[in-house]
Amino acid sequence: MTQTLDAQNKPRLGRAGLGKSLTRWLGLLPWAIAVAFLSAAALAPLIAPFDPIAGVGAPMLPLFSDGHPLGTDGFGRDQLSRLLFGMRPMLIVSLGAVVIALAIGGAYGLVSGVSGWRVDWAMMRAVDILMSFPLILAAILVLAALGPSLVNLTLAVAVSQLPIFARLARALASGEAARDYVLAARAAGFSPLHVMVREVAPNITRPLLVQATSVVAVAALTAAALSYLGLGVRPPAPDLGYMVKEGQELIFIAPEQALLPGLFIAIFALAVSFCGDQLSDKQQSGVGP
Amino acid sequence: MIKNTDFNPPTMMSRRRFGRLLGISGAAALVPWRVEAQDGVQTLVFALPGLVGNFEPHTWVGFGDTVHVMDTVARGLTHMDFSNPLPQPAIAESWTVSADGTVYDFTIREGLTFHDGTPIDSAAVLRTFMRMLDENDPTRPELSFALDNLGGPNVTGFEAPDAQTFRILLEQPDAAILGRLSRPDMVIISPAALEEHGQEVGLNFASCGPFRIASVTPNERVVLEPFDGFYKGRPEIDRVVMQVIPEAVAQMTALAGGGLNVTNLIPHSNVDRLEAMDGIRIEQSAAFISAMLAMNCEAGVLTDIRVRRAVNLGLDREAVVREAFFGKAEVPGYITPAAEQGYAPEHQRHSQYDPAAARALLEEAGAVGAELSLISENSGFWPRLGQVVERSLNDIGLNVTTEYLDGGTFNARLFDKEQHELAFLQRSAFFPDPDGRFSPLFMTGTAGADQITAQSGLPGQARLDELIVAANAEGDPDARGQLYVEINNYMADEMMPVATVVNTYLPVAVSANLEGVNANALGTYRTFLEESRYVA
Repeated sequence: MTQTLDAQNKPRLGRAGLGKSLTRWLGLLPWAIAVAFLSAAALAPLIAPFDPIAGVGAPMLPLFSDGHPLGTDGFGRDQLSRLLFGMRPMLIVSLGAVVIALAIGGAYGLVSGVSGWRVDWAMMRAVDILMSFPLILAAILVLAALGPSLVNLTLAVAVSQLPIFARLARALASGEAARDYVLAARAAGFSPLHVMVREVAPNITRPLLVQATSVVAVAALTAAALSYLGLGVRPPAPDLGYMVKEGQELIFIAPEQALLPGLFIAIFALAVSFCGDQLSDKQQSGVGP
Repeated sequence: MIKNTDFNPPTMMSRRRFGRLLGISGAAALVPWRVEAQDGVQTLVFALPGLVGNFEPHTWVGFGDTVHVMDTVARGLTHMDFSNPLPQPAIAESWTVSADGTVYDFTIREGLTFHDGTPIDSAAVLRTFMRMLDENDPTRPELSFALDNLGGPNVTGFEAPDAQTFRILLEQPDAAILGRLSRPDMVIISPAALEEHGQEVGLNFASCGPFRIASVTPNERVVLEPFDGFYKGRPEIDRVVMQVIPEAVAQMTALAGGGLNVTNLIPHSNVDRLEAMDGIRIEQSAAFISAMLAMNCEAGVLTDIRVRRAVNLGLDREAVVREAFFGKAEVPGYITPAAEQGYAPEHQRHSQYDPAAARALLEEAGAVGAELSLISENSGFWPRLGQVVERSLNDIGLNVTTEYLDGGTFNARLFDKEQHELAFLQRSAFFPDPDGRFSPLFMTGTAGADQITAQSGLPGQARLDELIVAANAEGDPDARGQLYVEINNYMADEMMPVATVVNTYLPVAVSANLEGVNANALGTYRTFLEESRYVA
């Protein structure tokens, strides 16, 4: 007897399968958002409808105004254009700061972990001192010394994130330094620099990169907070953090002036944070990023 | 049937009830400054930006919590209520000036006491003033600015020839001294409090203002109660709570909720919105606060008066009023605002906007494209003002970059001519005497003329000094006012070390059922609440 699969007997996607499929698609959402933010910021000069600094309409136009879908600010500047351009400082600062912190902090931790003993102790106490400052305060101190600018803001945020990478790299490197392949390399007479760069470094890079993804969210929030405090780019250049500050006093009149840039910051930080979590989960389960 | 009324079965709290309770507790947690209501007690809640809790008048340098509290709990020999350009009697009921203008005799009101019960007589007044003069006075704070603020070296002595007469001796005539005696740092302090607390008197302050201090919780609130012995009689308000609410948004929420009755800290942008709300009234204030653009006359292209004139002509003040102050400001004349003596409508020509003439002057001076830095504070209305001014000046062909700095860094650079080219400068009227905007800022030897504008080396400065001294020596108010009209014109036409950008005021929001609030004073940081009262 042959059996035919009619519509009713077709194997259906079970609840578990549907859930798994949904989870997989939802898992792509933060990546899509992060890519959208990066693309929008990169293409801002092409896609922004107006010059973000020039007054192009009446001041304080509401949402969905003709020609200005997100309205205008108190100076008559197009809010959509300012939001698109305003993402750039946050992205440049957060990504730049993480790259700098990863490079310097990673190298510092690598040297500390592989060197061991007194060098390790001294280097880590220095990191402890840096960590004893609240991250935002450390960044403010750097900006107070160097003055507000995009480059200095990037350096300030990098300094605030540096200890995270230094400690992680040190923990990973000291673990690797005790393993047979490193001992063998040392026994073979390779220089300490060779051992660090050619043997240990490649084996700690992956978890450091995973950590870097998570730290981008923190760095973005720190950058936005410092801009909110007036320590970022100079007005009238658009910046999401400073736009929140400018819009704050208008919260009862035109709440979108503060809420939209705030929402942009929150969505980007959340998306990048979820991306970091996913990479971390995969790394811990051995799948690898 | 037996009904057990003592037994209430346990019930699950409904989600709606839980939500309501959560909302109420959340709102309560968000409003830490709410003031406990007391039946039959008229309480006025006033917002403070901060509260250190030390009300030492002789170390006061301006703004902050001290001025609000001192104005409410203390008084000096004279009082300026901002409705009249001339000083009014306060602790002194009258005064006479010698023919040469160098001796002022004040008659102290009889029967007055300080809050602590100590009688007020000329000896008590002398005690306060000698604390300013005598550097060896053990009660004098280490840094005392009071004598400088009264007149500096021109004040040669104080005397108390009899029980009700207090005398001030001057080197040169100084008609503005009557106005200066109404400053918050010229209040009379109880001699008993001085003897008991010495340099700590600011923490245990006793004077003779309309209210006295009932309690102080630093960083939180000051509670004041009316003083029966005030020279104008007991205020009608039963209790004033000066509550720290630093954030503008929190203040507006408190105003709307009735937890705040008077504030002068709301942003200009929110005035229309608050005015439209039930239960809140916006009081109209005169524009006593001037935002100026100081030009360093020793810096680069600014050494050329044609460039300074171009800067002045290139300022789009209408745009400043519209975009930086949301219409709650005025296009100024020159240094003296319209609300003060010494202003004349002809001064409006000094604030004319003429970008074409400005460009022509820059071309003539070879300064087109010149790079200039502008320093500004990064709080309050300054960043908005900075953006409009920078745009205006760049539109006429300059290349201006604005640096927005924290208060400390800004002041350090403002008072050093090597560290700025253009700088914003605020002048408020702590007492509305025309000299208040000239002697302390633009006379040779002041930090203003030597460092901020660096105008002391300009050829016209000697003449300006003479004009200011002459105006201050003039005893007749009308003639004196005319002299300041001329000083404004001279400075603008011959020197142009500053451009006045805008005149504004602090918007004053009050509960709709509160009357008698002195809005003109609050609009320029002074706080006189003694005539406030609730109406049905």
